[in-house]
Amino acid sequence: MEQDNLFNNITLELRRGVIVLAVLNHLQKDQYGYSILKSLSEQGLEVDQGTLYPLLRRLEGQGLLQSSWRVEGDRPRRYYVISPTGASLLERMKDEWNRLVETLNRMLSD
Amino acid sequence: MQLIERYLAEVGENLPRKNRGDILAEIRSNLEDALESRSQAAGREADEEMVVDVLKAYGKPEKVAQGYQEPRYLIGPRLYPIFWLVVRIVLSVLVILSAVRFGIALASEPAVDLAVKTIADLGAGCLSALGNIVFIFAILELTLPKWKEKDDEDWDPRTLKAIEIDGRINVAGSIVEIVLGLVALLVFNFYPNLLVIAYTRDGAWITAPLFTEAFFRYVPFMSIIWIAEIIKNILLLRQRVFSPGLRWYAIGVSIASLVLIGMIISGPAIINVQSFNIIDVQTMQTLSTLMDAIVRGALVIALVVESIELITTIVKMFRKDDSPIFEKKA
Repeated sequence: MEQDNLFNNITLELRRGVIVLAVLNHLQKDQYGYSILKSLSEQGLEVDQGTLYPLLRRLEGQGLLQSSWRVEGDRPRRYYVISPTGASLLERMKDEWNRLVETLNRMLSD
Repeated sequence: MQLIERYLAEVGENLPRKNRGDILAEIRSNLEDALESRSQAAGREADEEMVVDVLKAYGKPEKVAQGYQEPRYLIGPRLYPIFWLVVRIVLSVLVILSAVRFGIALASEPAVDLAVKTIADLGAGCLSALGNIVFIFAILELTLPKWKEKDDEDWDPRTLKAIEIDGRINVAGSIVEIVLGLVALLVFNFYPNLLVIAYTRDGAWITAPLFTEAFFRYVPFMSIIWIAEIIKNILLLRQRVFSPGLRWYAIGVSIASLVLIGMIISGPAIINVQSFNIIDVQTMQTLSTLMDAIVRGALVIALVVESIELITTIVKMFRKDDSPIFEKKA
């Protein structure tokens, strides 16, 4: 049981590190909060709502995302999309990610 | 839907005022989207059970609000080590001061009553000091600008401060202290007749005791402290370093010395001015007052020096690089 908790905590930390990359990559087309959550989940990346929604605002605060409210029907929704700064950062993050995966794969296969 | 309003109200209570409306509007939008999705999946209108499920999945209001805020500290990680050091030093000083005050007052008050009063005063003093320190550090935490960490490239390992090996001892100093302690033990306990004033009158040598009877009442206590000091120095010479246990022992001896000095300062005269039986009564009274002031002044200086040494020992004990592991390497 204790080992399960430890595993869950470490896995959570591991996921947290990649969520930014996944979200930035995902928001090359504008989307609202719930749709981001759903589509990440459909692609196999389960993200906690309590992590994703505040993260979107933080990334916007850092200038990596842009957002705007739109009213569709009778419901206002906040749409997020990657900013030019975010797009440039994303390219560098992808390179870094690929290097990291390659290194870790090599290490783990030894 | 009433539940969603109640949920939003509670999240709002825990959000910072800035952006609160905007964050709540976004959470409402997310909740409504989630509810619509569930309703479509179930093929029926949203009901209270679905709302409950949506809210449970979204998380407890406090936790949700927490996600939108930077961590807040009364005393954060950058100030905590300094705060803890200050707390330990201040509380140690309070304990020492109480011990000295206890020793001084012991001459005039019953021991049990005085002990109870001292402990009560010490407790109140420690609480008050702790409260003030927390208050000051909380203000510093709020007002100090977030310091910018220097870039790693700017950092030069050669700027690291030199290590002072505080655990190392002064061998010659310890030997001198042992010899002086033994001499004092011998003279004050076995040869008190050596402690005299000698002068000539009408061509004949006359001697008179230098110290009063009151002084000799302190000698047993002084002897215990000298023996304790000798043991400390012998252990130091054997171990070559101050181990944590030995440091606590030294602190105990220092506190006992402070108490004794305090008792002597507040007690009756210890120099036998009658010994100076060479002058008229008025000069004698002046001399008596002067001698008493000199002796008490010297004792006050001793009290201050001992207190400084004690505080230095305590500070060294609380410093991280003075750990037993470090001392072993020394």
